[in-house]
Amino acid sequence: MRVILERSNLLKSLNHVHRVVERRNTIPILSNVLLSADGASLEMKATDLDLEVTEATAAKVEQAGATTVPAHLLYDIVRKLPDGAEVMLKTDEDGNAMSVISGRSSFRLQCLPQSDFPELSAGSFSHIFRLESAAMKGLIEKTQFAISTEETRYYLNGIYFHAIESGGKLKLRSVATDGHRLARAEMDAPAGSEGMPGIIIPRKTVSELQKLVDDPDVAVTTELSDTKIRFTIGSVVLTSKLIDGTFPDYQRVIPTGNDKKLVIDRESFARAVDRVSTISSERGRAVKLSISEGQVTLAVNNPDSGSATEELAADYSSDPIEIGFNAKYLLDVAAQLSGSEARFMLADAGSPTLIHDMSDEDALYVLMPMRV
Amino acid sequence: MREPEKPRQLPLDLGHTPGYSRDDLVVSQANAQAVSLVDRWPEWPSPVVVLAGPAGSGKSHLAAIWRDASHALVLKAADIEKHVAEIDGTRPVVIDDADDRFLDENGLFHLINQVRATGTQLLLTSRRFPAAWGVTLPDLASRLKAAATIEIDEPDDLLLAGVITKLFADRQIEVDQNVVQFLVRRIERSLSTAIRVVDRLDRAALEQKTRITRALAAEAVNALDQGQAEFEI
Repeated sequence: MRVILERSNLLKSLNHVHRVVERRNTIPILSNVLLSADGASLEMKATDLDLEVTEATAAKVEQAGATTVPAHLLYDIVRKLPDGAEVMLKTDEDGNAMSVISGRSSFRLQCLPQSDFPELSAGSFSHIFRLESAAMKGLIEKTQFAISTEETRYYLNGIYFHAIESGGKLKLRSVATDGHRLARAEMDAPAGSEGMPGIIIPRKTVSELQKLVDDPDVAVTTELSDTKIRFTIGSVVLTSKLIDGTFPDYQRVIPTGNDKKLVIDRESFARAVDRVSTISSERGRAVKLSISEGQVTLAVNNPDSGSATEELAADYSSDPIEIGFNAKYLLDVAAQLSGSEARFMLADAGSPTLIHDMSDEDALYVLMPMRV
Repeated sequence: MREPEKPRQLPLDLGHTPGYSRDDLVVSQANAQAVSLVDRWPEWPSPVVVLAGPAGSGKSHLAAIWRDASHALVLKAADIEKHVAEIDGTRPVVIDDADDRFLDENGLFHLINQVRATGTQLLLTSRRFPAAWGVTLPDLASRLKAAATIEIDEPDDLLLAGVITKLFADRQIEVDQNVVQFLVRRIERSLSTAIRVVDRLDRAALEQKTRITRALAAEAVNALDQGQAEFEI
């Protein structure tokens, strides 16, 4: 293989694919990126056996061929080359090493044969639909923070995507929960998503996808089956296994009868929560909200260091209520809201609270209180 | 003086779906007879069979397996009479929890007659033996006396361990066998206690966002021993 390409093109593609490669691997080939030069492009592929990313970039191919080299190493080398440089990738006659040559710099990397590189067979897909990247980004970003990181409950380690009829319209919904809070976002279902199976996209895939949809001008093509999903975003193809589990019936934890309505300025609320929680201990950062007509009092009490309170004006006219929340969860939700006001629908100190963005009815958040 | 309690995060009640397939069924000596009855269908000793066993001993599970295998019609104990006419010998009938307080005695009496007349079968499950149901209709009492009653015993170690593993699997949680063995040795020997302890552990693990460890299991067992209320929510 012998190929010449722009450093910036190579870096951009490597940046997308190298992240999939785990830093520590027991199987050596999984540390490598597969490079295949053919026609007028260089294709790069990386996998961790659950997730595979492929990207092709324009290159001058002098001799077609393929090999694999350590992904992080190649990425670090290319990253440190000067901007605007041209890079030549050239394998030895015997294929045991590949040279990376740019200007006066020259590196030799050990290769592993491309025939050992594992293929994530995708099988056939039952559904295909297209979304604007901004729409996909919305579904992911509004829910991602609530994904569980506790591995025992593997079925919560991802975002649940499904199509559902709501208010007479078919919606594409994303839901994530860690058992303490839940986030749900939805949009009008795109053509092709009707009847799709409910699927759980793993956390790592979600976070890679999120980085890829940052460019607002591209569309995301999604293909899926019961077990696999594939996203095509421009020249990048992301193929992933899905979590083999059943997402809980989340509808049952979204309260419908909460009748105490609190409307509050989002930013001042978030700032106040942040301020009073300064005094709380690392574990169990509980903040108590005492809500009465027209006012919310936030209080934190840490037996080891002291206490803090702050008063905020709010729109509230139901019976007074006292309820505790984890300050971090309140801040997480506040960070997701985009409007200037947040609407809390409360029942009592032991029941889930519903939080809405006043300017975005497509997203909702459920927060379980803390007993304080 | 009691120390002020540490703030505690409450978990969302996400629920779970119990698995009721034949593969999920745990078989041991305690329920072998009942399992063999269900597997043997339609070769039954009597057209009317009562499965009697303590709460959580797998009666509903067995009934569900049989329902799937036999395409039986499911009736509710409190509402039988108006469905009697639907029995035409093509489908057998199953009634779960037949010793319900609101048992439709008249309906059950006619149902048993209809089942016998059309040559099909009826499976009833209950916690108690039919003689203890407190049936007031003498004709029904004698019909029930003639039914074959199969008992599911209190669980042995094997069944209890299997059931605890299944209860965790229903919640999609894999648990170390050491934890299961620990629970089998420590909890009261009943399936309803097993359900309570698994529920409690599930909630505690969700609340604390941790794995289900032996330490957590010990805490749950101690709490149950001290007769604490279930999670006070």
